[in-house]
Amino acid sequence: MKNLLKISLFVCFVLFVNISSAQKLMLGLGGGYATFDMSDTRAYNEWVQNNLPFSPALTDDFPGWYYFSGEALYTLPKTVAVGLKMSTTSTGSRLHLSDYSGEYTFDNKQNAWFVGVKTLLGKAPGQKSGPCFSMEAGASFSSMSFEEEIVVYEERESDNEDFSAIGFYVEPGLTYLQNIGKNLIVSGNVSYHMDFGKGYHINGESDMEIIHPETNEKIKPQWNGLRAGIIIYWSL
Amino acid sequence: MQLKLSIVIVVLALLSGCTYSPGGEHFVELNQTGTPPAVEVELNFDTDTLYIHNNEWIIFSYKTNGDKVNWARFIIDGLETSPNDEQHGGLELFYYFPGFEPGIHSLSFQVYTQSGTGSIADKVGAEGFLLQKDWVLIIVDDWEMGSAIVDTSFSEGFLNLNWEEYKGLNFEHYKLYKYTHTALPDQLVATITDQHVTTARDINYHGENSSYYVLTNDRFRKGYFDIEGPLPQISATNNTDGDIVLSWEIPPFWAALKGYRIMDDDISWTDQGFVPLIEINDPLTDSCIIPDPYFAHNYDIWFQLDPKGIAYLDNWIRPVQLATRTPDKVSYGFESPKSGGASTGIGNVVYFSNQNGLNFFNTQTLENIVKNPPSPLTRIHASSGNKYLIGFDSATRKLFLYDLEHPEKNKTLDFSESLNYISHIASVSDRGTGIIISDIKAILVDFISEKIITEKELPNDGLYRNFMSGDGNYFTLDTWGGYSWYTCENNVIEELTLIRANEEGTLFSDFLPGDATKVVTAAYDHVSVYDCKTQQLLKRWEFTPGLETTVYHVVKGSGQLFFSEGENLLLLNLTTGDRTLLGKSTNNNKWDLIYNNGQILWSEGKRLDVSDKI
Repeated sequence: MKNLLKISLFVCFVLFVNISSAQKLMLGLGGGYATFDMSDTRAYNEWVQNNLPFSPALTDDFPGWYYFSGEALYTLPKTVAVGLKMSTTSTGSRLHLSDYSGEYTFDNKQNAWFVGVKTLLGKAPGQKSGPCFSMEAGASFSSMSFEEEIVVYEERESDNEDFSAIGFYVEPGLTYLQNIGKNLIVSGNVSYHMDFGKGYHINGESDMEIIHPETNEKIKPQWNGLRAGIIIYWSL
Repeated sequence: MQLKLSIVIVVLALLSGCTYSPGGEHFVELNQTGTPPAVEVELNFDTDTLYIHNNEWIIFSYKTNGDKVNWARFIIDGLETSPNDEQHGGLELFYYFPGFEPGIHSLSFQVYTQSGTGSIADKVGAEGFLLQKDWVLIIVDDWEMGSAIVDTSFSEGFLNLNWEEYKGLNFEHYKLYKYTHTALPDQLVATITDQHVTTARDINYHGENSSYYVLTNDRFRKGYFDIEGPLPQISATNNTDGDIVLSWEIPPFWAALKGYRIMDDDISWTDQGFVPLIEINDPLTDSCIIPDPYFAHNYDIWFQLDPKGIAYLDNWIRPVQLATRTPDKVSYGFESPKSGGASTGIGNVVYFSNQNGLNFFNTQTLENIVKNPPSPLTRIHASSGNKYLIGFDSATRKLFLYDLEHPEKNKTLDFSESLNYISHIASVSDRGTGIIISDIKAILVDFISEKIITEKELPNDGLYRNFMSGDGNYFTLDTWGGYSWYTCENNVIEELTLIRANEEGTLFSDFLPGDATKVVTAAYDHVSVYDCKTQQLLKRWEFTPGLETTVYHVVKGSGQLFFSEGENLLLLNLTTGDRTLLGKSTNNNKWDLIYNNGQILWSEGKRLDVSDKI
């Protein structure tokens, strides 16, 4: 929370300095590749593996995946561009075992939407090509679902459970803006996503949090990781 | 505006389609055959048929490896039972059977194990082997739960008892008990804690009448098993030395014995009851010889087993059960012709009569010549010089005179007209005269001419014994009033009162052979010789005080008196007074012993050779 407060004060200072300069609006769409921590859910998977009467293999383990974003930045004349950004990404894991008698599958799917404020800080961002520092901060909305299914000969049983969590995030990074036409700007950016927040709870029942049965630790969404991507801006 | 909205929708759809979906498969190739796991089931019963008492709790239980068994259950009469109490990977079923009618029921035990393939189905219990074991339950009562003794045997000298194996559950122990009629309470013979051991040994069985039973779990009993013996049969024979040889079969329970006691049932003659003869301390001995036997005694041999342990008898002298006896009495000596009345002769011949006739037994050659008078004679008397022999014909109640030198002159004498009653006894002289005692009359008779010479009234009834002197001038008479002596010289019967006055308590009297005027008298304490003419005492010898004396007869030819003093058989030389010990006999009154030429004969067919003693 202290970091978030510091970032907010810095944004207010930049806006104050540039308030009398010329303004410009940038609309951008982008995407990229993200990596994730997910150590809590990995530990949970391990517990599931150890407590089944048979031994499924971990065939998918929260790999890095694409993210997509959209943003609208308002550029100030000298050094700052600030606006809103929304992005989304997902990942998952699978425990699986099959033999002549049946099949067992345990899928863990996680998805998140991030809504926040983005700021570019550099030499006339959006107006001149060049590097910038970027900073994002906002709220994260995560969802997780367990999809378990076992098939033994002709018998089939399945079970689904959905969870959700709300948190905060900050994502500092570096951006390079390149004007490629009268109104088009392309940016390449690299950043690091950091998550803060509560653990997952059953949908609609915020006090029913999921915990690790052995450690009693809450299972949190852990989207922490690198982000690398491209954004195309349309400057108005 | 619609275009912009469409673009937004397309973008969102693309974003949704790009949501990550986990994937991957892990397939394991397995052998589907599987093998039954090595489940170790331990039940507290191992037979296919279970006998259960109709009034008890039964605990069925098994223990197995819980990692390999999915579930297990008991089914009684088609219904799964409960509760099942799982403990340490096992299962226990407590079941109470009072509600069951006696009869046949069913019990099944099912174990559902894993298949052993390692598959998902195996791990979740959807695949496996169903193992089932079935039993027949037979609900029975107390009697049927008991174990009956079925047979017995002997080994190593002991009794072994075999019984039925307990059929029920929850075996604790067998207790083998013995009941005897002389010991209370019942004796515990053995305690067996192994259900499959159904035999035990009674080291204290000695052949006594016993009833055995098995008590299982201190509760169930099934009848008694009675056993007695086998007691050995003892036999007695004479060996070539005349000794009594006893032999018997060694009893099969010999190891429980210390040995044997051999006794004589002596009630018949001394009223001492059982007299010990031999004690044998080796149970494997099967024969013996009676030491120092008595002549002229019928041994009634009792063979008693001497137990090594507890003997349930009141005392050993009164055998209640553990004794057998010889089938027949046995006596010491050699076989000789069985005699009835007997009379000794001068030489080697002894006369006696029996059902075969008149026997002339030669004591030197052991030859016996049988002559047949008209009918068997009793109460025979031979004259001192062996000229004549007179006997009583029991069939005709007449007298028979035997001329020993001229058998062709033998004849039957009929004096019945002169006799009031049955003639009791007669004696004869070498002249052929004699005395007949009938009732209270003494009749002097000439047997040759068959005429009565004279008669005399007697003060008392005459008894059996009277002896006439060889010359026919004197006779002795044994009456109820005691002995008396008479002269019949000159055909007049007169009592010799001086002798009678001096000889109170006389037991025996006869004349010295070769000197008819000398009469020998014997009382319980002395022997006297009188001169009948003068009635003077010529000689006197004392018997040993305190010993019972029996005088048998005067030995013709040698002038000796054959008698017994206590248990000793003796000859007394009536000239010198010397005594010769011949052997031992019972100290009761054996009136019919006859000594002749080194042989002692007994009317019951035994002969004792004492020729080495004289």
